[in-house]
Amino acid sequence: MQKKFLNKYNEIILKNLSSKKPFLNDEFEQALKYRLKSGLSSMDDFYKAIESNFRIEKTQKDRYIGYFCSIVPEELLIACCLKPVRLCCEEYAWTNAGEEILPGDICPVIKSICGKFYNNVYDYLDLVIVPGTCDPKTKLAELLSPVKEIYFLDPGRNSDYLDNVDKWTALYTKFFEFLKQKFQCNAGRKQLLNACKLTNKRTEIFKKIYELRIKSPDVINAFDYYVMIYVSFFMDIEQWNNMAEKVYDEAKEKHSLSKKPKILLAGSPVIFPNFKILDVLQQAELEISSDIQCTSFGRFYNPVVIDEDTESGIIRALTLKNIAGSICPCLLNLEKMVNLIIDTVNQYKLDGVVYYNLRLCQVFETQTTVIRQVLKENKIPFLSVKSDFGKEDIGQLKTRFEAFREIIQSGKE
Amino acid sequence: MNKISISRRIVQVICLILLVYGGYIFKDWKQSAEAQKQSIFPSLNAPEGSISTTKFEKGSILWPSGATPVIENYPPTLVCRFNPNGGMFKACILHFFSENLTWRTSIKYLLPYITLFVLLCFLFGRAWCGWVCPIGTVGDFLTFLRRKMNIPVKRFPANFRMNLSFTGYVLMVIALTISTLIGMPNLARYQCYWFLPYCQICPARLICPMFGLIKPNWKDFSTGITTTFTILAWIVLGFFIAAFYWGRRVWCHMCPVGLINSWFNKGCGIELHKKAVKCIKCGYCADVCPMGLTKMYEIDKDTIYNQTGCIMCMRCIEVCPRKGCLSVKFFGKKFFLRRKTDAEKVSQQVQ
Amino acid sequence: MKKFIFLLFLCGCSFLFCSEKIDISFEYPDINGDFYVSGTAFFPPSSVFSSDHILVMDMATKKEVPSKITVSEKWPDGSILSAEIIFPANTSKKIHYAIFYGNEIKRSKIFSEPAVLPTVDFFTGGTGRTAENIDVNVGQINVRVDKSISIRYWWYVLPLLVLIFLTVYRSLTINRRHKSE
Repeated sequence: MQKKFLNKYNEIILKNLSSKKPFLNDEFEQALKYRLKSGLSSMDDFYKAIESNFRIEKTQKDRYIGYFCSIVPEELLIACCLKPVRLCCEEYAWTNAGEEILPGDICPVIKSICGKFYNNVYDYLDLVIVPGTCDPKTKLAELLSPVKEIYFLDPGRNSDYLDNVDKWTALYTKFFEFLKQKFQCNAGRKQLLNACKLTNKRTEIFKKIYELRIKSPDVINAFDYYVMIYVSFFMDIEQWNNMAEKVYDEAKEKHSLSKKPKILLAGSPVIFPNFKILDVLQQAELEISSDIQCTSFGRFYNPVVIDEDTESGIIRALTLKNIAGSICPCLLNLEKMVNLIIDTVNQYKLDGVVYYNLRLCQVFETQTTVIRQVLKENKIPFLSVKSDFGKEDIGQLKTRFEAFREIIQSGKE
Repeated sequence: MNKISISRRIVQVICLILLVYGGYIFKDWKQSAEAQKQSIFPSLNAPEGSISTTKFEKGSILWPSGATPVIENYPPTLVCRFNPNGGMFKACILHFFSENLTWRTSIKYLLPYITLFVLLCFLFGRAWCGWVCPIGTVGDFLTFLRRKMNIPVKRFPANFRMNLSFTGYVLMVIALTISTLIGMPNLARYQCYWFLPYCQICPARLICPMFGLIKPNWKDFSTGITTTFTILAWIVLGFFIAAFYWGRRVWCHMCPVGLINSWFNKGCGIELHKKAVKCIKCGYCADVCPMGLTKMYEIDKDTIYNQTGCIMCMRCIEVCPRKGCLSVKFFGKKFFLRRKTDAEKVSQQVQ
Repeated sequence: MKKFIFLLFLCGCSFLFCSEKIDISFEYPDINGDFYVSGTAFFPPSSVFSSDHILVMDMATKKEVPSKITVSEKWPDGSILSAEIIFPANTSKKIHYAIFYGNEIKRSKIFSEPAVLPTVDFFTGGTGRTAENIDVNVGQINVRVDKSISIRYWWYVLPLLVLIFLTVYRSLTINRRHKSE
């Protein structure tokens, strides 16, 4: 029986909400200017999809499930014929709206999520799955329960496979039973295998795009790349696979013309429309050629490897993909993150690492010192940047990035 | 299924057919086996007054269900004395030691066989268990049946597996001690009951004749000793089937032939390398290991991670999602079945 | 090296039918030590019926010398006509030998240690031999032919020890052998 958080006090919260709607500035229209910078015609489909996302027509049988984080397994949702929608958002306007529920120094991503929910943007969702990763996200389970039904998924903070795999498998199995019971569908081995095939196909296409961008980062520029990632949040997976494959087929024919230094971007995720960092990096003449972030690399890069094709074996393989292989700093993954950075830079001969911290996010900030010291030992140029959604510090960031570029270019000679 | 798994299954099936049915396929070679016997491998026959399996009648436990084998040698896998029509090879290495301890053969006639055995184990380690052993192939077939029936696998903790190995060693030592004792002149009268004690309880004695549709000797309740051996053989067979059905290769922790092979695992020619900077600790390598080993997940530096107990099935190398992290080499040179380095293999991993 | 020396056997009074003693004389060879002497002795008819009643005696010590006696021809009534005799002699020239025969002569049973003669054997890729020695009972003399092929199988110890040493060495240096690329 699913527990309801804040049972008794829901009405009080809803009563005290103000009825004024927030002022939405033209972020989305401005962001679509990136469409003109794109050199690929097949990216048009992606930009059109963003526009149409605001008008979701929900039919009688469609079920939309919202979720956060890569900890939540999409394959279980797809196997039950549900449509998963990822809700991480970085929209500045909604941050102000969310201050009503969460005033003060709280992560701006959580604030914008709260703002959206309490202004009925996500009315079409049937269920929201909240994982217990970082502190504010855990508390979202209680904060959102007046407006939506919540399912809470707690993987714990230890990412060691040997100690925890049984606990994770039990967690996912219980989640699967809950889904089957709530939505009355009979999903078994065959549906799970089909869902895993779809996500593995997506992984394969993503890997091809990722490696193409490492070699020639300007054939699919950084804005296109992050727009593709954003569209995968809400689009049907087969459709996304087809569209992405077309983009790859078009892009691999082109040749790279850029001689700018190649950068690895690590740290907090960059989600459309908050492309401030990408703008500044482009103005400072640095190319983002690969990234280690939870929305893109951490979500798509690992395949599901199915050895035991029984139902519990598939669920166990999913836990290994999602939880044991995740790079989220909320679990104890610092060594893995450092290994990934060093290995990617050395293998692909990248020029530097930029570590992007969202202001007020503590887990990413705690990792900065260790990464800086280890990369200094390995003689890899490193720059750590802390920023917010606002536009005030664009000048400052640009200066720092240009100085970083000078360091890289003088290091090369 | 990836390239290594497919080739491993093919090799397993071919070896099963050759080793078990070799007596039928190559039976024309048997007549000239006498003439072809090289002088480097002296023939070992029971001396005057000692017992050998040819003296047992149909109906007793040690009745050999076949005639003479094609090649009188003892490879390092479980090719059984009881293969139909003799099989390709004579017997397993434990049979070799038991028999010759009872017959008190002079060591210099055993040296050629032992040298060949040590050479084969030194080259390939315990890959004989994973790629050639016919009993392992039968067991893998039971695992395949279980997966088709959607029954989840049972994984056993490290303590249980160490206890199994300990039991295997105890059985081996007891069997060899009994074989030595009945070779002494005073105790020779017990030879008819206690000859080849491990063969009497080994599950291969009951499984191998069935390949040739020969009825194995299930029971012999004539005396107290044969009754005990019969019941022990049933218990061990039951454990064998349960271990292969609910676990994957749990039996191989206990098999005495495998335990002897595993002494050579760390120094053998097949080397499994790990490059620790590429590891993302996803745990797939430890999850798919049929023997339940976890060292390849745990170590954090660049080493060779050969372990006693590893049957060299190379599943861990196949499933690792980071290319270049795990690799296999043969005496320092890369293997020809090198893991491919492009991402197309990912979609083949789900069948 | 077979040390059978065939010498001329000068039969002295072998045709004196009344005596039961045959004197033996031969030329001593130009070697030192023991050697085998062989020859044929002839007996009168109806004098001796079985080889148990023939013996060779050392006249210096009056002791019986072990001998191998093979009956070759018989008289019509079953008594021995001729027999081939082999016995060991020594190169000391003071020893004389004689053959005694008759019904009251009794040969002793085997009383000598077998003389181990090294043999040279050849083989044509035939079956290996598991018997270490072949005891050939030749009556009073036991000739043990040593056929143990000692050196042929023992050389396997060398590759065996090399392989075991390599295995142990490689398993102990497992950490040093990983070469990073």
